[in-house]
Amino acid sequence: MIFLRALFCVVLFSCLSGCIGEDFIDDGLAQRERLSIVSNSNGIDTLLVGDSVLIEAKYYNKNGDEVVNDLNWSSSKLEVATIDQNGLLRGLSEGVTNIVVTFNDLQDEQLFIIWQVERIELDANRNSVLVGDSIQFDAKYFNENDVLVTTQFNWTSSNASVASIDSNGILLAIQEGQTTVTASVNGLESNNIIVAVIQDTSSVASIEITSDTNQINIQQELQFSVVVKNINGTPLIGSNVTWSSSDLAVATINSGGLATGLSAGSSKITASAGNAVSNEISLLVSQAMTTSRSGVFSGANGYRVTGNVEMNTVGSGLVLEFADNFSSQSGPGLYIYLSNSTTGGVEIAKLPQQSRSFTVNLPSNISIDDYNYVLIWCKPFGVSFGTAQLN
Amino acid sequence: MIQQLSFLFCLFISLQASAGGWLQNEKEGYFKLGQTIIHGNQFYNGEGKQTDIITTGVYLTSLYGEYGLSKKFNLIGYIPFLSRSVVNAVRFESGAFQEGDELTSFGDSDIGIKYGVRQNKSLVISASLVLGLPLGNAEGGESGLLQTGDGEFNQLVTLSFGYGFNFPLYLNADLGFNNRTKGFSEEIRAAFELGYVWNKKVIIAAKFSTVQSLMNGEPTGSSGNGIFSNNLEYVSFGPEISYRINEKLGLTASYFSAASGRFVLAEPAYGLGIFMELK
Repeated sequence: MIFLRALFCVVLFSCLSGCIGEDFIDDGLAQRERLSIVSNSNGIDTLLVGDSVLIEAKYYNKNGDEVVNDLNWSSSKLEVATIDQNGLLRGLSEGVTNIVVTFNDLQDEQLFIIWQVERIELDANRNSVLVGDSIQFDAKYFNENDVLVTTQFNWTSSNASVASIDSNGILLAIQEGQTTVTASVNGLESNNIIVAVIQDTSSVASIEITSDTNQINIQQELQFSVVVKNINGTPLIGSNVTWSSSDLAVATINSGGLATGLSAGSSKITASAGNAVSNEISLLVSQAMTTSRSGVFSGANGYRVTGNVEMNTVGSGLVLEFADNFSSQSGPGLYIYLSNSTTGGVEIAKLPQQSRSFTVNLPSNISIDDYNYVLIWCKPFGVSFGTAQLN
Repeated sequence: MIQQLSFLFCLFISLQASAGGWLQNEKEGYFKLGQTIIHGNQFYNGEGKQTDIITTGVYLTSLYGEYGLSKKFNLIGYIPFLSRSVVNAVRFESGAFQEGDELTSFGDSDIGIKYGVRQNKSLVISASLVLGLPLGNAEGGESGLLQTGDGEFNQLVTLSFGYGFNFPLYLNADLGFNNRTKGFSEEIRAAFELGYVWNKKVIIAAKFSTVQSLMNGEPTGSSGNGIFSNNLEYVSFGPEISYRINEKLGLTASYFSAASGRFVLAEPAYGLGIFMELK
């Protein structure tokens, strides 16, 4: 009888004692403060000279809440555009400026190309000529409505002793040297074309530079190519080419034509040899826009997780791509988490059973730099099986 | 996990109840109703380091018995007829909430036979074969992740030694080999017990036990529930007090620490029991 009473008591005790409690855990989701300029462009935006636009930036506190604060705005090229402390940007002249917004230690920036609708586009079929020969220049005037309008231009040659230009835009080469041709209407000037006047057919007559792109990030390098030709279009090998960057604070270029981005902005890259000057390429240097991050898994707590993972931008969304070499030890309730620590985080998806070479779409409210770790997380017991730190 | 812990309890309870190298006399027996609890949020990971996990509890209500079939053979059995495991709900700092889970069922049980190799001497020796019967639930709870068994059939062979000193001290030592199936690693199990009998009423015992894995199975065992389920190891020790109320009934209380381990809760196990001797 005593034994049965004891049995009843222990069963009752067992049922009462084994109730589900509640734990409180820091899940690593205490957000980082964020400050970002709202833009639909890929780090570069445009504005017309004379126009203005209100630039918006959003600040998120550590709780992930958007908070309105007094932000500090600045423009790197005040002659190109100004911006007030409300974020109102005004285009002043053609060029590129870097707009920077700061709050406490946070910063974001965006390149703006300021351009003018009313313009003169100057062109020539070549930019080198033998002494005694001539070149026909062509100028087109577009009014403030971007409509091509026929008008009379004022033509100037910067060095009339080298070459003169008449009212029809015909340049006559007088002696060996270099001159710059410009067309203007009512104070509005065209782009410049530098003309090389050469004495003989063995001299450098033209230089053409090319590059795969005209946009790089800060600290990124870009190789320019150059082709030097004589007046007959025959390539000249071994010519002494000098490279130049119009804004050395934005980009430098070495004697081999390798440019390096230093700060956000625009710099005109040109090359010269003899009296000939190349076409110019406007190199846009912008803050690096992260489009991909990657990491390598390592096991945690004695569990085995190996392989590579990438977080990639696909269209307007983000995906996590687990490589062929990804492998995870099986376990109860394994989930993929994103986190800023190696414990806890935000749940993304259940780890597929066939866990290699698969892709997981990330929620639209996650940005590529929000989280620094991908976790393989045993959800029911709160144990990490493995982590990959994203670079 | 729970299944593995139930093995842990099995050993604890065996240690609490077992006569070690000694056998029950023919038609005599020892039966114990026990309650064992492990509850906490500390876990020995695979590297043997303690780490936080979500608070987990295991509550085992069991019957343990030894019965003398003959002078040489004892029938032994362990039945966790009420095995309950819970994992806490979690409220995260971010505001998210994760439901807890619970499972109550019959647990994996043991049945075996003990043979007296040498009895009625100061040094007694016995050998036993215990079969682990997969009667528990390997995929329980709302999540299907809680266990009171692993579906694995194991066979534990143990050689036990007992030595009675002239004064009221005794020593037990067990050395066992646990052959496991379904990809689980085999185990070496060892236990030592030094007991003092006071006034024939009270037994105070210091107990030590360990399980060491041979690491020859699959990383998680074929069950796939790898967080606790394979290559489990631990070293545990603690006191147990037994009080004999009368000729037939008695009470026991025990506390066993988890001094070290791998893939096991780093929490102490508390035990209470009432035993009955059939004479």
